[in-house]
Amino acid sequence: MLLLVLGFGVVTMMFDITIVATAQNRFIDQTIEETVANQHVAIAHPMTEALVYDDIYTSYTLAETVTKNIPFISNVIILDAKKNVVTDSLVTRSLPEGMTTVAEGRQRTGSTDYFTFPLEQKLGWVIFVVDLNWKRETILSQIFQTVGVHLLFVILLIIPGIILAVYVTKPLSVLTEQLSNATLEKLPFTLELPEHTTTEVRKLAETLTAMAERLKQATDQLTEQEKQMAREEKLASIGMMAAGLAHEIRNPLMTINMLIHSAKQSFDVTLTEKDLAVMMHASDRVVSTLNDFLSLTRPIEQKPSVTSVQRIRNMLSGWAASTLEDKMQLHVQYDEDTTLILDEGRVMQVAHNLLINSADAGATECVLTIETQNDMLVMTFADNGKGVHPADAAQLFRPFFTTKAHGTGLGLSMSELIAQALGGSLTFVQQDTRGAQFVLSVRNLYEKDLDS
Amino acid sequence: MRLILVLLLSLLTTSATYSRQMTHGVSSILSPGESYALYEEFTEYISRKLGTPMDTIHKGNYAEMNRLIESGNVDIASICTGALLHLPEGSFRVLAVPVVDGRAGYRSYIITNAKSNVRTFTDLKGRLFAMTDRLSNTGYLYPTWLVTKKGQKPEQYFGKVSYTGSHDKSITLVSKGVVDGAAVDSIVFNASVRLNKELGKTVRVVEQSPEFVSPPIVASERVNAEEFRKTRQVLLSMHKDPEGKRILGKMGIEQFAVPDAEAFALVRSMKRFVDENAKK
Repeated sequence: MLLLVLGFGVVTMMFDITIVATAQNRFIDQTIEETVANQHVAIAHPMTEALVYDDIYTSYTLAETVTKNIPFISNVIILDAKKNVVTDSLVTRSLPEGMTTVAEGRQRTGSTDYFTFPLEQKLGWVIFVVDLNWKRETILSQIFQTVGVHLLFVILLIIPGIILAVYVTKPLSVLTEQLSNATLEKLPFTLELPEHTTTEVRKLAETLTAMAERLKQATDQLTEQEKQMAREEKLASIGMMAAGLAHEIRNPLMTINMLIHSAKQSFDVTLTEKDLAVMMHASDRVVSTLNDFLSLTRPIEQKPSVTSVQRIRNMLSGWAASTLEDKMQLHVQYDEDTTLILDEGRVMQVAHNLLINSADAGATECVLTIETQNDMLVMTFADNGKGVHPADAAQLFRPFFTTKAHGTGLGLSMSELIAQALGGSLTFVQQDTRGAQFVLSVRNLYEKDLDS
Repeated sequence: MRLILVLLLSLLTTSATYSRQMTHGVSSILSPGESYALYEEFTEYISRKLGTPMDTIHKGNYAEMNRLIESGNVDIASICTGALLHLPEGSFRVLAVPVVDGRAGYRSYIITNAKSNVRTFTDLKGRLFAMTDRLSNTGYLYPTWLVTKKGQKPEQYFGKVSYTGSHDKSITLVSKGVVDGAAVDSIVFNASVRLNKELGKTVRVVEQSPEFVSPPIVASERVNAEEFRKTRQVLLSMHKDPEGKRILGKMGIEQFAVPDAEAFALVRSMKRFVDENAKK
């Protein structure tokens, strides 16, 4: 800011100096020429008379008066008709150094100009000696004056510049620095300003601090709300999970209960084989549900082995043909038959789950695309079933969430856990067209081996 | 009735004798500018003492003043000794001469610049020389006589001769070095140096002439015997009067005196010598 002022001052100063120097130069040149010519006109006649009458006193006095009155005329030399020096105001009694010829006109030697005029009928000659140093000194003094004025201005401007810097610019930059250091965690912040801060900047700081306080309050509120929501969601999940679990357990237990009750009712009706089988099946169901539920909580073991894309394709195609029969056609596509090192059993588990879901959703075809990207195996399942409603999409992977009439609702949550355990993910991609698309990605340890 | 007429007539004649407008001619002994006021005072004093109105006429050169005297167009005149030599006999009468340093005489000084290497009159050969007026005794005649004694003319002897018209100007020119030497009136020179001590340091006197009778005040034919007597009386007693003494002091004069008959002899012989040799 200060530099700007200085720069501006210097530039205008240079500009002004140039103008002054040029203008002065021209003006002075003109003035000199005119003055010399006028002086000659003034003294020509009395000088001629004085020469004719050998009145050296008048000749001398006229010359001396001109020299005394005009600052840049340093000497006036009077010559007779024969061009001999009669007298001169400086009483040098000779022609100037370096002047060899006396001829009408203007000569220049170094820093001196000589203006030579003949008197009437060449009865004599007058040489005006002009000291050009005077011109140089005058211009220089003008320049100094200009520089002086400019320097004064610059100094005068520097003072408010400094005041501005101390009272405004510095506090502002201090303020900015402190603000940039303030983070959300450090809310609310207090701003420390230097002593000499103008009220406006202080007000600004106060406003910002107040804003920070409000921001802190708002974020605190938000955090609280988020926690609350998370808690509620958790409760909801637990609730749903509990409700699902309860539902899965209650139905078989009710079956068992009913059979036992009817057996209890009439002593002669004993539990038949069929009844016992049903009861067994019911209790099995309870056990398996609980096991499934528990397995969600257990860490997933994996046993990687060497396999390949083709092998997986073959396994899946075989399984689909036998399990899904005519219900759904599976089409498998892949680019390269890459070697894989992973737990193909687990991969199968997830694939089976997804394919069964597709069939249950009414799909007749499912296209599976297998790709290897870097160190990941990516399997994209796209079916033509009834798809997933956008409202359900968020809860898809929640335990016990199901849209099926008969289902535990644990399939997708288990599949997701498996995918994550295998270093990948299972995601649902909403389709614009009919059907659902799931993308399973797992880590291919084969690549990793190559690198190490 | 007749008595009144007689009285009136006598009054008229008296006033005619004593109240006519007189003129005092002053030629440039000191330069006109310098001495103007002083000579006005001087004239006014004489006028008062005579009881008759008197004007001052200043003339730039001696020749002009001589013409006025010859034609009777001026009553009294302060002139140069040399100028007197050019006046025809009978056209004038010497009233008085000034006494300076106890002498009714003065000299011609040949002066040069104190800083220059011109120390004698011989050194001035081929140099720039200033004279005052062709009719001046001290300012022209004396240096010409010196040169004539050497068998030459001033134009040959000196490099160049300039005419300043006044002793004051000649002194100034020498002081500034514009000319190498000049011939000036000793009364004027001494008065100038007295007035300006710095001036005295810049010039030096390299030659002095023998004493001449000092520049006289003359009366023209227009002045009658009675007026002549009275005017002479005023001049001669001026130094006894405090006012008169004061004015004399300013002029550098002690008093006025009547010169003796042979006072102008030396000057006349000088002129004769120069005139004769000029014809050769």
